[in-house]
Amino acid sequence: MAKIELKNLTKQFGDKFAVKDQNLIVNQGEFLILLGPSGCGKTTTLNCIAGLEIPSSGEIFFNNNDVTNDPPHSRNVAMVFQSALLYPHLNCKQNILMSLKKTNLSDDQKEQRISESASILNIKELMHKKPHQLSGGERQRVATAKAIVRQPDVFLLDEPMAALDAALRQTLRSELVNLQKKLNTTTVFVTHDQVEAMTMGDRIAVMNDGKVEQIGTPIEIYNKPKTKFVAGFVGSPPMNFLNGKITNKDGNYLFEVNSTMDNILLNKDMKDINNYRTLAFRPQHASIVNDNNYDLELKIYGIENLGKELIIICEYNNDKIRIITENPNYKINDLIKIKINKNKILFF
Amino acid sequence: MRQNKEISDLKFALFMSLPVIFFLIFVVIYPLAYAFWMSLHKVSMFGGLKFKFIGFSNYLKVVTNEKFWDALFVSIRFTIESTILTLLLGLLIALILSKPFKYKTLIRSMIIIPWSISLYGCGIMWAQIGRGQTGLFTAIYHLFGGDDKVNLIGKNYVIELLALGNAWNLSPLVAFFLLSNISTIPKRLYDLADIDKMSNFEKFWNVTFPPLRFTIFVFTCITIVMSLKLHDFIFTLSQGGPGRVSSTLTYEIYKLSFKNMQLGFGSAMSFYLLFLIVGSTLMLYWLWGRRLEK
Repeated sequence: MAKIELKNLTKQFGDKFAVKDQNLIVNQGEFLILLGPSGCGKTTTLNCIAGLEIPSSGEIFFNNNDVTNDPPHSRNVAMVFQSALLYPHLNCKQNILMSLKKTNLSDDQKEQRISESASILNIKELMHKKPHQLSGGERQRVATAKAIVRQPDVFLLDEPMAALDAALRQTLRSELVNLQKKLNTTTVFVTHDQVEAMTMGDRIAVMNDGKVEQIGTPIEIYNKPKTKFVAGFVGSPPMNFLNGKITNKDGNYLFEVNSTMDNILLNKDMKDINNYRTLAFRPQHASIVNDNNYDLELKIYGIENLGKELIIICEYNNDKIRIITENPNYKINDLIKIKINKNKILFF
Repeated sequence: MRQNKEISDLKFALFMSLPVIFFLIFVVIYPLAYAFWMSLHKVSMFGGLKFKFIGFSNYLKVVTNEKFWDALFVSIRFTIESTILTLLLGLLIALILSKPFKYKTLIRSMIIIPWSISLYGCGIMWAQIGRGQTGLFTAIYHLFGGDDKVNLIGKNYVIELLALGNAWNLSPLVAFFLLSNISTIPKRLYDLADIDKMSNFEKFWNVTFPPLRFTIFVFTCITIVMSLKLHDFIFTLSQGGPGRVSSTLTYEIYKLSFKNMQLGFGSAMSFYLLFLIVGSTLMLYWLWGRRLEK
């Protein structure tokens, strides 16, 4: 178990910054998610923590020890890679044993550790199979067993479930969190899937362009996104954005949407009048109304029926607005009127 | 309207392969059958072409002939050396080319050149390289202060020179196939090996080598066959000499059949070569290839 601290971590490839001046603390026993689109530097950050990549500048501390230039094996980290990488020519047991080969454990201890981690992950009957004989989920379990068998201080996962189907991912998500809580190992989990991030992490660090945009618990990230990027990246269906400016007309504050005649009446006093801002609201924070007390009139572009609810996708001002409703009686090209819950809107 | 008759996949496959089947009948089966027929006869050319049926006595004559056994051992020595050298060189080139470096694409395309040179030309070139008066090895020896000549086309090293030239010609192809194998290895597997604290050699053995095993097996077979049947290279490099020192089975068959015109005897010996080729590849498959398929 270790506390991980990144101080001004920077990694450059040529003149491109993969990670720029990153500061991050992962607390002991914490499950931290690095969330972001591809190319945002999350894997590079993980590689630096693992020691697979040496930072261009900045420092990395494990429990206040500087490990910035230590090789991976001396940091006592374990890593699970994308699509659960294993040595293809070795069977599962030999694969797991590889994690212990360079340790000082006796053969009996090794045997015992392997059988412990095999029983934790329920893979005892797979031990003599080769990786290509396993299903995606089984391979994932074996790769996880290979990682935990070392009893690492830090457990690093690089999009381990990216290649699996949705149903399996859902099962493995809770299994992995359960295992992490059982072992209480500091864990850094890289993903671009915001559902994984929301459901698994103690905290989420949302990354964009080589930097952490916001770090916080899933609820904080979801309810109080600090930047437009975080707001748009987290949540499914994604947040709706309207560009426009705030005006004050006869004591009423209005949001005038750009290049339309639409005004949205705001319910509280606003400060920066006449500045261009972005109004953001989540799909569930707008409702379809039939009276004339509405904010926007929209034309339905598409409908996604999720069973318990429907996502109505409307085209508005060259952009898409998504609304959640339970009423299934809408058709494409219908006109609907929506009212936005003003208590839930955010401005960027 | 007439409907197109559906034909089965097998029939279609047979139909599509007819040209190559006819081709194979003319260039393989007919000569093979004719050679077998000749091997059962005593063929004499003087006073008109005459065939006299003598049964299998040509085959008996081959195994009691000292030249056959000499040539067989030359062939085996040459083939083993060629195979080891070809695969080691091929692997080395592939490993070097798999690393990033400047002008990689240019060098990668240049590496194939030895393979594209005709063996006839290779033979002449390697004869120049190996010969005492003009040779590369004499020049190197002199560079380090020696004043003698180093002649590799002598009785001691001529087979090794042949094997080296053969490997020089074949290894680029091996390298290219191995290189394509290497490029399919996920880069992350090396990271996994780093975390497992593997040394460079262990990484080679556990990550790089396993996916190459099948290609190495295939090229071991190919190199064995190519070396056992090699003729033009030996013909221009050493002509089986000095004496009969580098006279492989193929070269001996050529001499017997087309110089001494003992067509029946030569044909019989060529069937022993065929058995050797088929036998060695089958044995290799039995001992090694089967395990790789699992």
